[in-house]
Amino acid sequence: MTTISRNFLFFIIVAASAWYLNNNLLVVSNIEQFMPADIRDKNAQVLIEKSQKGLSANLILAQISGSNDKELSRLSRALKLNLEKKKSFSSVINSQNFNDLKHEKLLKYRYLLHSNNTFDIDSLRHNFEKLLTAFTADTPSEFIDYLLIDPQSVFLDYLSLNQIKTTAKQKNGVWFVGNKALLMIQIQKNSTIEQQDLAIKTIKNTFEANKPSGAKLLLSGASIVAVEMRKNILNTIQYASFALIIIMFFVFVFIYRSIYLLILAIITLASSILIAMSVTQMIFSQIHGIVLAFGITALGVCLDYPLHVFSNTCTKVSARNAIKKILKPLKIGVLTSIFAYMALIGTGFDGLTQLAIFASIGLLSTLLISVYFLPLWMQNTKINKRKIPIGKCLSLKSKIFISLLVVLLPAIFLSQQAGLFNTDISQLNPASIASKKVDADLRQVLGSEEVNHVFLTSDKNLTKILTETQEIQQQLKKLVAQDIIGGTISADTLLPDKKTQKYRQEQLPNKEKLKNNVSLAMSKMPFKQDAFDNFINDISSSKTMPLLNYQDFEESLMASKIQSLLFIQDGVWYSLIRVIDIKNINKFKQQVNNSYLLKNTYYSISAMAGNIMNDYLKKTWTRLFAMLLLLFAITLWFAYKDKNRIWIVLPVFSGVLISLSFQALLGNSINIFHLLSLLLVIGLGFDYSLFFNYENNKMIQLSNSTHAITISAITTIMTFSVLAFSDVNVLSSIGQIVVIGVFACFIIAKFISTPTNKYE
Amino acid sequence: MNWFKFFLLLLIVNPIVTYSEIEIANVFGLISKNPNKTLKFVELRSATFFTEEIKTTGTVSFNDDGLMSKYIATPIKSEIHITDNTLLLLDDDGKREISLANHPVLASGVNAIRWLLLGNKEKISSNYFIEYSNKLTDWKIKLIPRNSEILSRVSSILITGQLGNINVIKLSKSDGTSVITTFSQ
Repeated sequence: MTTISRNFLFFIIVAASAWYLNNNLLVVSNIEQFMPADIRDKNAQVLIEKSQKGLSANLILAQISGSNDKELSRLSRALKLNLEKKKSFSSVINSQNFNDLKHEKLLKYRYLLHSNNTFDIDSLRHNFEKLLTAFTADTPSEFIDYLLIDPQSVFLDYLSLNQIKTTAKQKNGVWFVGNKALLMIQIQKNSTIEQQDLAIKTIKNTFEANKPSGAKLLLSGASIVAVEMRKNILNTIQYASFALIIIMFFVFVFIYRSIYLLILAIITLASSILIAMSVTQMIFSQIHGIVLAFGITALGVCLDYPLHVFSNTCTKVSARNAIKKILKPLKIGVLTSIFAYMALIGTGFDGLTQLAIFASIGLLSTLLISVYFLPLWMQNTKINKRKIPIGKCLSLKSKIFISLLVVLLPAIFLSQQAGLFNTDISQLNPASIASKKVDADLRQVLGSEEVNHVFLTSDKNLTKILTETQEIQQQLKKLVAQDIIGGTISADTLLPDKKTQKYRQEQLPNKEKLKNNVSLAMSKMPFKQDAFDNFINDISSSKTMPLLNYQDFEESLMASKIQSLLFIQDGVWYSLIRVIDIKNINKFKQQVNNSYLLKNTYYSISAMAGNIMNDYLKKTWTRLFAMLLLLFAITLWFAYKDKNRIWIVLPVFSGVLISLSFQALLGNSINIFHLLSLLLVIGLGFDYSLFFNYENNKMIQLSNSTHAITISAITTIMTFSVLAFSDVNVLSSIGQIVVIGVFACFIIAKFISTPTNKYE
Repeated sequence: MNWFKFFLLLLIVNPIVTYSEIEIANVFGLISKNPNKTLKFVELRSATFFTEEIKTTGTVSFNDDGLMSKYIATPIKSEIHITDNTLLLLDDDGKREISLANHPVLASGVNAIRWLLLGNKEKISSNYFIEYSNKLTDWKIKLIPRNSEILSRVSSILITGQLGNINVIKLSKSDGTSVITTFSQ
C-alpha cells in the first residue's frame, strides 16, 4: 500500500467516524447501566426497574423560599399555572384541590369504588342540609353542582383515601412548610435525560419569568440528580481534556522540542477516541457519560504508544526501526490491557461492558496508528529530545528488600481493615449529602412514599393479588395503629377486587326505594323534586353496570397512581404496597419479621441491590485475580528464557495493593468503580514494568524506555488528578485509585523492574 | 322673592348642585372613604334546583387591606373570611380553605365587591366592562366580565348606591339565577 493510499484510508476512517458521531451520538448518564443487568429474582428486577423508571424517578419536588407568604404563594400559583400549559409535565400539584369532579371519568363508578350504606331518610336529610349550608356559605358553584350528583361525597371520600397524605399546611391556597412554599412537579413518564434536562430548565426559566425578586427556587428528585450528574461529568471531561492538552503541550515543547510531534500525538489520540466512540455508539446505540469520561482519560494511556515511538526515535534511529525494536513489548502491553478490559465483559453490568469495548477499541486503534501510520508521518523527522537521567540500578538484595516492603506492608495493612468492601448502592448516588437531606425532608412533608421499603406481591391472577394486597394492608394497619409507620398506599383502595365491587353493588338500594327516601328527606326543604334525579339515576345504573376494570382507569384522575402501584409485565400482575413515613425502622423491621405474610412480601431496595452488588463484586474480583494470574503466567513464560523478567509482575501487584491501601487510609470503602480502575492500573503498571525491564542490558534502550515511561506517567497522573477532584463520587473514586496506583507502579517499576546491578 | 324661601331653596338644592355631576371616579372615592366598614346584609340566593329563594342574613365587614369577613347568622351559622386569594369557610363541619385562583367564577364575584369597597377602579376596569349611570346622588354601576369563561357563568354584577354607600349588589348568573345582597347600617 502506498503512502498516499494509507493516508487516504486513515482520513476516510476518521471522517466517517466523525460524521457518524455527529449524526448519532447519544450520551446518557443514568446510573442504572452500572447496575447488574441479569438479576435472577424477577420481583427484585421489577422493583429495581420501578425505582429507576417509575413515577418517582420523574418526580421533582420544588421549594420556594426567601420572601413573605403572600409573594411565595403567588410564585407557587404562577409556576403551577404556567407549567401546566407545557407538554413536558404531566401534573403540577401545590395544594389539595379537586376541581371539576363532575366530569371525572371515575365518578360514575363511585359506588363500586367506595363503600357507602347511608341511604336511610335521616342520613340523606343530613346530606341535603349540608348541601344547603355549603350553598349559603359561598361554596364554589362547581362544588355545589358536584354535591347535587353525589350529596354523600362518596367520590370525594374515595379520592381523599388515595390522595397525597401531606403534613404541609395550606396557606393562601398553596402548600407551605414553615416559610417555604412547596410543589410536586411530575415530568412526563419515560422522559429521556435530555427531556428531563429541558423540563428542569423550563421550571427554572418559568420561575424567573414570574419575577421572584428575592425568592429562591430549590429543586430535588432523581431527575435533578441525573441531570446534575451529567453536567458534572461533562465538566470533568472538559477539564480532563484541557489538562491533557496543556500537559502534552508542555511535554512536547520542553522535552521533545517539537510541535510536529505534538500534532502527531494529538492526531493519534483524537483518532483513537473518535473510532472508539463510533464503535461503542454503533454497538450500544448510546454512550454512558461515565464511560466517556473514564474512557477518554483511560485512553490517555494510548499516549504511551506514540511516546514510546518518539522516545526510541533519534537522529540515528528512524521511527520505522524504533518500532521494530519496541514492537514486542508494545504488543504485549496492548494485549494485556485489552485482556484486562475484556474481563469486564459479562460481569452483568451493561456500563462496564460498554467501557470494555470502548477502551479495547481505543487501545487497538492507537496501536495500529502508532505502528502503521506514525512511521509514515515521521519519515523525515529528526528528534532531538531532552535526556532524562536513568538513575542508579539496584542490587539484588536491595530489590528483594524493597519488594518485601512494598508488597507485605500494604497487604498486612489491608488485611487489618474490616468492612473494606462496600456494596451499598447509596454510595454510588451522586447527589450531595445536603441535596439528599432536602429531598428526604420534602418527601416526608409531602407524604411521598418510602422508596426503599416496599411490599410486593405478584401473580397471574389479578383478583388473587388484589386479595393478597388487602391482606397485607390489614397487617400494615396494625403498624399504623402502633405509630410505627405513618400510613400505606396500595392498589386495593384504588381498585377493589370484583368480589368487593359485587358486594357493594348488591348493597345499593333499588330505584323506587331510594326515590321515596330522597323525597321524604327533602320534605320541608327548598329543593325541587328533581334536584337529585342524577344522584338517583347514578345509583340505579350502578346496580347493573359492568364491574370496574384496570383498563377503566386510563385517562382518569387516578391513572398514573394505579399504574405505579399495580402493573402487568410478561403476563404477571405486580401489586406494590408502599409505606409512608417510617417512624421507627427497628420496630418496623421487627414487626415485618414477626408476620409470615409481611416477611415474604417485604423488600428493602437498597439491601436487595446491595446483595446483588455483593455478588457481582465477588465475580469481578475473581476476574481481576484471574487477570493478575494471567499476567503472572505471561511473566513466568518470559522468565523461562530470562530470569530477570520475573521482576515485571511485582510492581503491578504492589501498585494494586498500595492503591487500595491509600483508599482505606482515606477512610473510603472499595466499590465496583475502584475495582474497575484497578484494571487500568494493572494495564499501565504492566506496561511500565515491561518497558523498564525489556532489553535490560542495553543502556540506550533503557534510556529511551525511561524517557517514554516518565512522560507517560506524568501525563497520566496529572490527567487523572483532575478526575480525583471531580464532584461525581464515581469519577473521583476512579481518579484517586489511578493516580496512586500508577504513581506506585512507576516508582516501583523504576527500582525493581530495571536491570539488577550485579557489581554491588 | 321672599329671602327666607330663597335661603330654604338654596339649602335644598345645594347638595344636588354639589353632586349633580357625580362621576364614577367620585363614587369610587366616596365608597373607599366611607368610614362605616361594618354593614348588615340580607341575601337572596336563587338556584335552578330550589323551589324558592334562599334567604341569608348577617353582617359583613371589611378593612383597607382588603380583608373581608362575612358572618352568616341565618339560616345556618357560618363565617367566611377572604384574604388576598383565599376564602376561608368556617361552619359546623370545621374549616375549609378555598383558593380563589382555582375558582375564577367565585373569585370574580368576590373580587368585584372587594375592589369596589377599596375604590380600586383600575382593577375593576381591567376585569370588567363598566356601565355607569346616576340620578342626583344615586348611582348604578353595572359590571360585565371581560373574560369569556367568567361571562359564560356570570352575566353581570349590578351595584346600586347613594353617595359613598352601597345599597344593593345583584349578581346575575347566565342560567337566570341570581344573588341579591341588600346592605343596611
